[in-house]
Amino acid sequence: MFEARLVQGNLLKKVLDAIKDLLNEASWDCADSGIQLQAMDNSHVSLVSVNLRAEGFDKYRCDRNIIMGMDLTSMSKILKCAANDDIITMKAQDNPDNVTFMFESPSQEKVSDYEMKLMNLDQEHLGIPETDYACVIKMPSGEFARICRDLSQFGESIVIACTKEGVRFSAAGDIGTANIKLAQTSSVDKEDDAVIIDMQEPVTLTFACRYLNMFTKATPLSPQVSLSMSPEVPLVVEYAIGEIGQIQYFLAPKIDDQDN
Amino acid sequence: MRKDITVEFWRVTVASKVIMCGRTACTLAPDEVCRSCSVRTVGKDGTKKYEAPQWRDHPGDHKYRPSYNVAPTRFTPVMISEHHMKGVKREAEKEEGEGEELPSQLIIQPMMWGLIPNFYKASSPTGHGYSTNNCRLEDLEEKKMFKPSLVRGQRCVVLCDGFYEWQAIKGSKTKQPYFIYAASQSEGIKIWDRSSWDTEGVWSEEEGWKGPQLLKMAGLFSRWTSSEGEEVMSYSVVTKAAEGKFSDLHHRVPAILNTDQEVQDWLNYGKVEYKEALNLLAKVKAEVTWHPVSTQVNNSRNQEMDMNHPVDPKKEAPPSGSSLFMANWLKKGSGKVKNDDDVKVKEENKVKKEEDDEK
Repeated sequence: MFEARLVQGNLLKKVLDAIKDLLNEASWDCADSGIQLQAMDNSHVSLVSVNLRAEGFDKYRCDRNIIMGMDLTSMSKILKCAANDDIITMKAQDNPDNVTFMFESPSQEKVSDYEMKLMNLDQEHLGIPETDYACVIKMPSGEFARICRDLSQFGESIVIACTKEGVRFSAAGDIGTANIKLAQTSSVDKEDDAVIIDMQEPVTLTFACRYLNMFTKATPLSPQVSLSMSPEVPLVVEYAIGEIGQIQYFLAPKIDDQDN
Repeated sequence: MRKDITVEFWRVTVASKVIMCGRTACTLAPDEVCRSCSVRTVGKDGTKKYEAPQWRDHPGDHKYRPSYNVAPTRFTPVMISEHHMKGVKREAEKEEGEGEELPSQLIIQPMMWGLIPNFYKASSPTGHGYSTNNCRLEDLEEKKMFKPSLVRGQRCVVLCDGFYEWQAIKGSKTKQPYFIYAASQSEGIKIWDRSSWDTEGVWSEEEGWKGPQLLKMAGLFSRWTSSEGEEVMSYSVVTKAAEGKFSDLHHRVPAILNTDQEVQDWLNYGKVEYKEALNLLAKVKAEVTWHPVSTQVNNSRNQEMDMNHPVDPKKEAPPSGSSLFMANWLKKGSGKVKNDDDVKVKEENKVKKEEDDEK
């Protein structure tokens, strides 16, 4: 028996919005410790890792580890049927063919049940190497989304250059060039608005806008985003999922295919 | 397996919206499209020659642009009876008394893919929110969306090089796209390769069209006027249950007209009543052939010329530099999977085994 109840049901709605453009389907690994999802996008250039801790749920029970393969488009359609203030419960048997989503209105006057068939997906377990990052940039998530959107008008890729002075995002294309520089916040009034840079050595890497823009679909989850970079490793874009977990996007830098 | 579950799911929980023919290739220039639809006529003096339908531009700024990857809302060539155009006298009627029946004249003009419902009131032709790229032959008569076109005889033939369809592959997350085109190609002609047919003698009045055979899909069209008075003509492709070998690929197929007679009967709404015309579509069999193509076609923004070229799906596209980079990086992490008990156990076993092996 698996059951996970989340009073703040809209967090789950937002998680789906944050991954459904990147992944068509994925497996949710449910264990005693919580729920995890790891999957690569179709082009195998990026990897998404979602982690929801058992303690974060209002009720959590997982007698046996189960893997639930889901069509994320379908799951998202179902979650769209939940109101923002609904309590969401996910339920499944030990060897499930189906998963049930139950939505309860806060007043308990309306209860909806949606059952969805599960899929058998080939699941490769991805080991994410532990990495020490040369630069970790924390910034307001809305600002990051805005920068990615603005710069993607100029070209297909964004250069992120992190130095001790600050971080520079730039793009170049047919219409011209664009540069956005953010300096580290000197005095922090509101933590959510701060730009904080933790740098061991300067790093400059280039990434495809298309993916960054898909990652910023997670913006509603958290007021802050962190970008971790090192030479020769993928960028990590991380958002907190309320108090219950986090979503990480790993993105390989742009590599000129002709060089290979 | 997967396909079944998905189909079942759609049916049960969400909606009866099933994706059908939604992507085509139209790569011929307007004059070539017309010539490829030439029919043999006999003049008053008894001379036989091939005549191509007339091209008519869509009013306003809606031009047809040839493309290897055409998605709905694009304007593509559609063949209709000239009687739909005001001020055109019916040639065949005039000749009727003279014993010889001439095929009614046809014209080809671009229309927007995705029929705009007549009841939709707005300034822009898109955004009505209905899925009208296709209409199902089985329930055409019951659909408010399409019935008016049927009753008015607004039947058309949608012309294209071919269409794309995606086949779900068992045990794979990706679908394999195929390019489907008319089976009746002359020897040596590759419809996806212009150099195989684009020569000086490809068309003549005496010998007709020697290029590729276009696919002729039955459609319905509508004439819609925006709130600002702009006229937009748009169409929907009629689909039916797939039969024979094609049904392995997909369960729906456009209603494809194979012979000139079928085309004439479908378009000649004055002579062939709509019920009879629908019976005709129920009978036609899609004479098509197909080959796998690159998944590049999945994104309608991709417009490269090799979109409909055959590929070997077993030979996967070479991984991009970025994906190789990602794969190499992940290799470093194998053995350090976090938070997954199952995998941890497996990894531990593996390590133990390796240790044993070393001993």
